Amino acid sequence: MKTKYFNIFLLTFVLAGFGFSCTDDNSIDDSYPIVGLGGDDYPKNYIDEWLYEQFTVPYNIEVKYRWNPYDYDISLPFVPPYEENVIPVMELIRDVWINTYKDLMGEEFIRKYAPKNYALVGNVKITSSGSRVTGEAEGGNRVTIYRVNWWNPNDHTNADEDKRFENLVPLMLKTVHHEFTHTLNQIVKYPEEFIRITPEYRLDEWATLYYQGDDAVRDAGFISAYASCNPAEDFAEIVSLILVKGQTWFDTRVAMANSTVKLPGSEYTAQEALRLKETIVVSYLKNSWGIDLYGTDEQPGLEKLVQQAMKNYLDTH
Amino acid sequence: MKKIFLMLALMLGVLASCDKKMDAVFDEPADVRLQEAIDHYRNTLTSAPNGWIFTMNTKLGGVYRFWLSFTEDGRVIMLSDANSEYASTIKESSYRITALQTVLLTFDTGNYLTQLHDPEAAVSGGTEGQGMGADIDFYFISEDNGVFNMLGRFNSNAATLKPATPAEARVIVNGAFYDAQTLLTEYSMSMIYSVVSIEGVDIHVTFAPRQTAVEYLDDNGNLVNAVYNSYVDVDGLANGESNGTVYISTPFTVKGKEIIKFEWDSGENNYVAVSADGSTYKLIDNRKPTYSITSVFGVDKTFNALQTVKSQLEGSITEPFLSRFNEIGDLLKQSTYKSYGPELVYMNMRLVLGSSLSSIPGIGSSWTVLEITFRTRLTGYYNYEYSPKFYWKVNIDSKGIYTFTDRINGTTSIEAEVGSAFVKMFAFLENNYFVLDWVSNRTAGSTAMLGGFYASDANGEKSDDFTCGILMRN
Repeated sequence: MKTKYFNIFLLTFVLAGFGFSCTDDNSIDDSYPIVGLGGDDYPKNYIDEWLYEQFTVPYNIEVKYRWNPYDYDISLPFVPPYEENVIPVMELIRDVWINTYKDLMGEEFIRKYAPKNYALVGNVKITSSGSRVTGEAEGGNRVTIYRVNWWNPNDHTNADEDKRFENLVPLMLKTVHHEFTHTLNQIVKYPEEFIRITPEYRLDEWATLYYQGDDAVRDAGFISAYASCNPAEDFAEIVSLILVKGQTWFDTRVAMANSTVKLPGSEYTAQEALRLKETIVVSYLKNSWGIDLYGTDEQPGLEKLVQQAMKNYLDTH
Repeated sequence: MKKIFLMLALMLGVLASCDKKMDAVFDEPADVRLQEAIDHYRNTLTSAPNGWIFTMNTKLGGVYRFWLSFTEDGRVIMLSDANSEYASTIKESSYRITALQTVLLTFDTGNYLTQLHDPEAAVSGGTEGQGMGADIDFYFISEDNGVFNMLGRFNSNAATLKPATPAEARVIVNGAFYDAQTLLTEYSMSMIYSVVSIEGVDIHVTFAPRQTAVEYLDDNGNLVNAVYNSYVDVDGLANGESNGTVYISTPFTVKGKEIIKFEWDSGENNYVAVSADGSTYKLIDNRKPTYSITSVFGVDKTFNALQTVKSQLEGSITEPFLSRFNEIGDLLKQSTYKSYGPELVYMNMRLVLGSSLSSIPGIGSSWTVLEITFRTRLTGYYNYEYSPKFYWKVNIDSKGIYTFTDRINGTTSIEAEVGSAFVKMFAFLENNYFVLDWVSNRTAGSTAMLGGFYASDANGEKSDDFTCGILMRN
């Protein structure tokens, strides 16, 4: 009996202890603001104002050009862009990407589908395997454009041909259109039959193929070395190369491809494969998005709008 | 009873657990202290009247220096010692002082400093994918008499941020970063073989604008080669028109003396090494190494060949060897290939083991062999080059006296066709005793180490007739 009372006393004591322990005021002290919460504050300059007017107000696109180490792969070195290159590069993106889609599809299309974050990086990204990355699209939300510091309208004789201005402009545009194609694909996937045309994709071997030259990949049914990486890159390469280099260029490439030997694992020759991929790309854009790639003489399609806008940009810079 | 004690202990434990009062280590919460630190660094950086000198190590390119002036609205203007243009043309960009685990100074738009971090080798040098191995954002680590010690976030490079004096700021905006480097380069070009003797160890010192190389024999007689990050200060220009102090970023120690810098001595018109304890050691131009050539030259040593390239030895190569060497060129012009305009490019004298020349009939595998190559160019025939080779057995007596015997021609037809051009050189080698020694470098603009085989008497007494060549590595 004694033991029983003792145990009841003890239990009461412990419960009371817990009760008191719960009565302390444990609310978080919010009288001290957390440093850097919500991002750093910085004084706005003319670039920030221009980007806000040109991209944020009309399309709700944020353009980041100030360096923040944790926005990018922390294992690789990156440098921020030179301020003087930010507006010219974004003018190109506005004129030859946004405005061409806007002219064809209306402003609402860009508002709805354009990635909401654009990030600019000064250098070309060099991965640990040595491959060079010029742009990346992440989850339909953010597009990163690398090599902004290559921008130099006066550079027409650079030994590195990719850095000559007349070559760099279409290369950078190709990156922009390539990444936007990924964004569209992330919303509506391309048809499964596209994957089966040339089923033997090369994954990481594409970098090796890059150095073997265009003929090697063309006769394997790919429009570029990078296209041989996987179906998603293949699709984006066809769209972006047709837009930036033009339909005539594409037709010439197809005509040069092998038309006699069937590709391994495929029922098509390289020439047939490239033409079939083009057909699927055209119908995907039309049926899934209402985008007319080639258009007509009276009603120019996206390809002609891009070609004309790019020419205008080069003529005025 | 035991149970009751246990229960009492438990009760005490429960009571104690109710006490939630904490003894904070710091008076203020972390966010308050972080904000105070950010404000302190920002206020300090923006209030320096003459700007700052930022000194940054890189992994591959040595030390780079910048003059920085920060404004409260997040702007920074800078000059850099990267090249003459960057040393004289102001570049403006933005910067941020931000909290990233700890307080970080970051240059968040492109400028001279961020350019060094570009991973493309074509931009600022270094290796493809890593570039120079620089940094663009830096943690504040400590503060020492107004100087901030900093650490690069990506490559962990050490850096310092020091307030500039009015005199430093004045000369830097007039291009002193580059001028100081130019003065150092001119000094280095004027010195053929700089030697500083530290506690009995003779050290060969070679200055470059971002790195300093030292070379000496260690206690075991091994040749030590090391390159240290360093920079030349603008103090000489700020105080008058003289060379600047050369600071070693990672001081090196010889015989217990930690060498931290080299100061300019206007009276001696030369540098003086200064150790951490204040000892000083004068540099002299010795024109040749102070240690014995035999400690570094031989079949199994650091160097094993002497290469005679006339254009690189003007002033050092002397008569009568010079005439003998020139005559080879003249005789080649009259040889089998005379219609193709043959020219002697160089003569290479190499000591090798006979066992490595098993393809040449007649060479004993246990021999030490002197191999001489006469590199020849046919200027009238696509600059085609060929290399007649000849071999001798090398005999070295206990006094270090060399004789060359048992000549064997190379195995191609070339040796027989043009061999007559070399007969006087052969006679010189086969009819004399020789000792190996340094040759004083008297060639303008050259800092190469020169050596030669000196013709001697039977006792090893040197004459003035010696082969002369640049020491080549094994």
